Amino acid sequence: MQSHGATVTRSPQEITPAGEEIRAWNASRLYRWLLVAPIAFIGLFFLWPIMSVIHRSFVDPVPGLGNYERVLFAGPYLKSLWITLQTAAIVTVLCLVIAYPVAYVMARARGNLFALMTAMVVTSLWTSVVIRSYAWMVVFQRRGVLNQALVATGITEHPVNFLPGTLAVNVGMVHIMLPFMILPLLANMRSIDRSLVLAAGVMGASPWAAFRRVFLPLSIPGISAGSALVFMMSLGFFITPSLLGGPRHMMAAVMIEQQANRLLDWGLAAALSSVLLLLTVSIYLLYLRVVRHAEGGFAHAR
Amino acid sequence: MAERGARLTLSGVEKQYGKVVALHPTDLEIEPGEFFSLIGPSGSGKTTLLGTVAGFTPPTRGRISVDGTDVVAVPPYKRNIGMVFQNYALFPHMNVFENVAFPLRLRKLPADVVRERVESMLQSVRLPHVGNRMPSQLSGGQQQRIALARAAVYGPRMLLMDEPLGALDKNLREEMQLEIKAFHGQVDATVLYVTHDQDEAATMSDRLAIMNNGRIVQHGTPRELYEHPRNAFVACFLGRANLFRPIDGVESTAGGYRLSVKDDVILNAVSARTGAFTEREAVICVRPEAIRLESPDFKGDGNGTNVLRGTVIDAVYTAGTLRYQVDAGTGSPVSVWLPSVRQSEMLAAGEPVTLAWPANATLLIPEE
Ligand SMILES: Nc1ncnc2c1ncn2[C@@H]1O[C@H](COP(=O)(O)OP(=O)(O)OP(=O)(O)O)[C@@H](O)[C@H]1O
Ligand SMILES: [Mg+2]
Repeated sequence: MQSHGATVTRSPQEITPAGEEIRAWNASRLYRWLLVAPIAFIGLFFLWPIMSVIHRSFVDPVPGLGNYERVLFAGPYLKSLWITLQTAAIVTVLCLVIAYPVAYVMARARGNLFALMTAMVVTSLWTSVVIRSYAWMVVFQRRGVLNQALVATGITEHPVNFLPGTLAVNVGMVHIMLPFMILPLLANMRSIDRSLVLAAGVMGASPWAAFRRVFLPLSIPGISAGSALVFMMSLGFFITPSLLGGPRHMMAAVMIEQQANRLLDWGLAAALSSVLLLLTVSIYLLYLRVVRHAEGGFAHAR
Repeated sequence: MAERGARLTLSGVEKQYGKVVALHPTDLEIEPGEFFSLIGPSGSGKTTLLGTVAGFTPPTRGRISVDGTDVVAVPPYKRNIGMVFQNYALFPHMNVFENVAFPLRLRKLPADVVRERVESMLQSVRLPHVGNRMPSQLSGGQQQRIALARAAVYGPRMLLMDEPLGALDKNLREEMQLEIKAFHGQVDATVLYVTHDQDEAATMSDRLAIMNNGRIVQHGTPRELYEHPRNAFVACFLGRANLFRPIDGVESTAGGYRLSVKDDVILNAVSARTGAFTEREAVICVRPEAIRLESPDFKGDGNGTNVLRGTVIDAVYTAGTLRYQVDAGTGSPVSVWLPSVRQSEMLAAGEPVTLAWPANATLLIPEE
């Protein structure tokens, strides 16, 4: 390289006299100033409310750990957190099981068919969650279509009380969360080079072996992103459980709303919120660790 | 060396996608252990033909047999064929060792056999120390060698390669050509190789086939194809060819044909084909290195040597060869390549020249 004397370029530092440090124009300095507005926004409307909720959980109505004692040792609070975790887990697994084949087929589609399929997934996001939850109420009602069908076909003798109940909450939430699982999976699967699967086949892998040893491992980033998204959204989900859930399936967000708005127990609501937040953040950190570990090899591969 | 690879026979193999015919009915026989290349322009059906042999492009019609057994109904994973893809198709989630071990693990070989075979394979592609690396940590040429190792590690008797060097730069490509050739000597496999680089095909192959529009136009040894192209397409595809179109009829003579390409210029030509040609379907092909320069008063030597006068319009020197473009009033300029050791000085543009070449280097071939 050095031998091409005429074409060697020198950095400005080399040319300036020794000792004189140059302050070159630097894009990152500009970007730093551009960050001020968003940081202020997040601080004001995001961090500050969270801080004040956490603060309130320790001082309302009297300073101390009283609210946390109640959350952990009294009443239905701990159980509600447990139900929340359980529901989020079930919804995530169901979404994954349903979304994986859907995304698999979509990822292979081309042109108009692909546009149509994507539109079908995305339009469901445009309909309000409230409306979709009410729609499930209509389905699950005592005189709803589901019960009518069950009685008409003789599967049950009398209508079943689906509402309020666990089944209704799970079904409703899976319906609402499904796009959030499909889209990350789809993005990931479309980036998987299908010739790898063909190559595996030529080398002797049956279609199932090629899927299990090549396609499935390559789709793990999509699986983990979709699962994390759905799981964490489910933890704080409010509308569907509040419409379909009732007292026997009381999820944390519904419980918090009750404490704050109906019982005006702001301290307890704040403590519950803080515990839920802590739970979500820890699960997110756990997820990051797992993903980093699983992608150890991938990190270089991308 | 008891086995030298599989014999591959295609008879009437055809592939249609709806109304598009990607491969017209094709017959081809490749001998055991042969290095056979398919070349042709983009979209000529090379990958399609390869795909029918590999098994992921089921042919619409026809028989494909490997060592006499029809494999059309056999799924790819049971054909025991090795394949190297243009984009390497290394698994990004496995390290190099696992990539090469993959076909062996599928065959449920014991761990020590796997280790031994993978290591000896990495040795023979001259990359013994990269087993722990991920494919993305290798250079293009190294990835290509790993792909080669992976395709051959399970001892397939048929190796398919679809433009394996297409993504490499020129120097590396030439190095890898020699390496693949040497590799072919080590493994006992018949190689079916796709490229659209004619030099690559000529360097590496025992025989090659030229494809165009879903058909094999001609196949044979590189020399046969170069010296006896069947038609103008083959002549132009392999190397450089000067084509002349006759302006009048083609006249049959004792030793060949006579035809005129310009007022007062009659050329003597030979043809592999016998019988009459009409001027509409025939062209004359002369290779640029068959032409020599003569003195301005040269009138021919009575042996049927063809003479053509013109003016130099471009002169270029490249690595030992002088390349002239000469305007002789016969349509497109005539290329003339001369070894520079036999030419003391280079002619400049505008200078008059007299070109001459023997009748037997003047091939009369069909246009189509
Ligand atoms: N899946 C497909 N559907 C429809 N047409 C196809 C399909 N695959 C290939 N073809 C068509 O078949 C013809 C031959 O394609 P093929 O891929 O065999 O060409 P090729 O010689 O390998 O070209 P290249 O040098 O560009 O790789 C092309 O006209 C192509 O458009
Ligand atoms: Mg191709």
